[in-house]
Amino acid sequence: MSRARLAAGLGITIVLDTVAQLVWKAAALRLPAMTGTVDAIQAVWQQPLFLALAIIFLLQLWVWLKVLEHADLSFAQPITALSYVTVCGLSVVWFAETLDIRKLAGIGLVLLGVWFVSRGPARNGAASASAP
Amino acid sequence: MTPVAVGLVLLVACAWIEGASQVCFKQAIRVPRRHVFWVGMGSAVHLVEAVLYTAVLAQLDLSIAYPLSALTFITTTCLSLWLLRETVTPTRWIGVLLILAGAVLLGSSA
Repeated sequence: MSRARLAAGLGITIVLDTVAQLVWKAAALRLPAMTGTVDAIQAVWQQPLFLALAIIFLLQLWVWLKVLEHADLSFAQPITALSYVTVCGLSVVWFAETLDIRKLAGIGLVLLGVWFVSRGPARNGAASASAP
Repeated sequence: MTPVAVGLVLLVACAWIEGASQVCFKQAIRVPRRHVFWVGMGSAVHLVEAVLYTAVLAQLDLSIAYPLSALTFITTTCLSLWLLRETVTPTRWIGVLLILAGAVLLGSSA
C-alpha cells in the first residue's frame, strides 16, 4: 500500500467515524428513559438507527483492518482525530453553529498534532519483530 | 456516587476499553493465523465499549463526554507501547498531546 492509499483508507475511516458520531448521538437522544439493563437492550433493538450504526461499524472495521496492515496503531489511531475537525465543521455548516476563538484554536491544535504524528514513518515497527 | 461521577468513571473506563479493542485489531494483523479470533475479540470489546458509551451519553452532557473521549488517544498510544511494543517516537507523543489539547478545546464548547 502506498502512502496515498494509506491516506485514502484513513480518509474513509474519518468520514465513517464522523457519520457514526452523528448517528450515535441521534440514536441515544431517541432512547426512552431506561431503568435497567434489560430495558436498555430492548430499547436499542427497537431503534433502527442502531442498526444503521452497526452497518457503519462493520464497514469501518473492514477499512480499519486494511489501514492497520500498513501502519502502526500508534500512527493510524491519532490521525483519526481529524474527525473532531470534521464534526465541528459539519456543525457549523449544517446547524449554523458559530466558530469562536476557542474552537478555532482547538481545530488548529488537532491539525498541528496530526501533522506531527504524520511526520514520521507509518511503521516504526515493533521493538521485536515477532508477535508476543 | 453522583450520576455525573459514575459517568466520568465509565468514560475513563471507555477510553481504556477502546484502546484494548484497538490492540486486538492490530493483533489480528500481526498474527494472521489467529486473525478471526482477534477480530472477534476486538469486536466484542468494542461492543462492550459501545454499550458503556451509550450509558455515558445518557449521564453526561456532551460538552463533558466529547472532549474527555479524546483520552482514547492517550490510552491507545500507551497500550501500543506496552502491549504491542511499538516504537512511539517523541514526535508522535507531541502530536498525541496536541491532539488531546485540541479535542478538549473543541469538545468543551460543544
